[in-house]
Amino acid sequence: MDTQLRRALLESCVLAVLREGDSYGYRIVRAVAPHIPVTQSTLYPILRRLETEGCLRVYSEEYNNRLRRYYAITDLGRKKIEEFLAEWEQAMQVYAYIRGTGTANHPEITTERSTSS
Amino acid sequence: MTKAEFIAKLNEALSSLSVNARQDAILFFTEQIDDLIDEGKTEDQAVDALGDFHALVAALYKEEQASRSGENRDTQTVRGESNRPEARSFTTDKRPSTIVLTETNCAVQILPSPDHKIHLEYEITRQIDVTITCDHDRLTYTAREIFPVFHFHIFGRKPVSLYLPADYLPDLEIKTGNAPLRAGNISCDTANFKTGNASLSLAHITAKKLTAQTSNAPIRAEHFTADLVKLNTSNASLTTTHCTCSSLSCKTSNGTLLTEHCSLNTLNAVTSNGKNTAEHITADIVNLTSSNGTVRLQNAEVKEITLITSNGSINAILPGSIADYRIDAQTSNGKSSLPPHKATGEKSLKASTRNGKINVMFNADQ
Repeated sequence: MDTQLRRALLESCVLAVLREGDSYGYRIVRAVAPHIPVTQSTLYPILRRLETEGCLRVYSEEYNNRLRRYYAITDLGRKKIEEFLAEWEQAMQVYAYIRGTGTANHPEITTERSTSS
Repeated sequence: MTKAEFIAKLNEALSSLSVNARQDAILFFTEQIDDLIDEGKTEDQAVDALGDFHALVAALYKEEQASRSGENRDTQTVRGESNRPEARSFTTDKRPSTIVLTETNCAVQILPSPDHKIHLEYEITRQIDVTITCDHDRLTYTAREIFPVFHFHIFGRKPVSLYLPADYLPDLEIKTGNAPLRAGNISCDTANFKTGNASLSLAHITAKKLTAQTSNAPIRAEHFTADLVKLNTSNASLTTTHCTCSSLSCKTSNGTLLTEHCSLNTLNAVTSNGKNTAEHITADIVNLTSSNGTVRLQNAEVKEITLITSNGSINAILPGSIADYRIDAQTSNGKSSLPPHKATGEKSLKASTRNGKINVMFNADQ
């Protein structure tokens, strides 16, 4: 997969995980890994960038006699997810065109509009 | 590799990062190793599970470079986070020989700098991307509209301001659209000002070569000194006053042309459906052309005069007497106060119209 594409997907994946609730490094890796390959080494720069952009904030809490870093999504992070989803809606339409008009042969292409926001 | 060995290796690899960035990374990965060990892995296994070390280090250096800020940055791209404009500025000590400023839908003004540095002041929003690059050769400012997927209300931005220090003669390429452009009290070598559908206003400028173009809006140029000047607009007035030029070329359509209190070698003023007036000028050569408008020349100390219109009249009050001028005057459908031909005279006067009067008088003959 293209590096830039992977990074864009990873950023939104991480934000989506945090949207469900604050989390910490190891748990974020575990949550994202089933969807897209990720390790701590790929995750860390993503977390740094999202923090610089203001999409998440960081705080520390004690756990087992050590300090654990927690990440929380911000309003800007939520907006970034919205933008990502909208851009991909557009991308999916282009995908459908490139793939071909025989959608009957490609049952996995469906354009569903989510009724929840 | 033990945990301690990995952390030492990381510390070493990140030694050129800022202290903050390095310590932050060490904290993060220490925590990650601890979590993996809690889960049951050995130190070795934990370190292996962390992923591509070299890719990590490369990514961190790239990130740090991107976020470094300050005057030394050679390229910066900023984009706002909200729909409301946020103010930004850029300053440099450098004196690039060319400045290229490209904006869209935002007014631009060029003004003198309060100090010896070049300053750029501008606003960004979420819909605007601004990239500035600066080296000793060239300073570029480029604003790009990013069309949002959601149509957030676009707030208007304050004019982009470019401040130029004195004793600095850059080449200027300034472009915007649908918004006014003004420049005042500056000096430059060659200047190209361009906008559209909005006014262009130039005052107190010193330049070698000056080109200003807009459309559907007036140009006003006053108190400037330049060699070669070309002013162009359409559907609007063009006024040039108190200027000193070698060659001044003014062109509009459907608008009034006024050139006054100027000292020139050559004046070429052309309009279609508007009045074309030149007064209180000294020049070697003056060409005033209008198709459907009146051409007027007054108080003009000029050696070679050419006044042309089709459906308008030619009015002039010239210094000296008719004896001073060689004359060529033609009209098909109007009265003429001039003889059609006169062979002798130091100065030359040509007047041509089809459906209009020629009404030229000479001060000394009144």
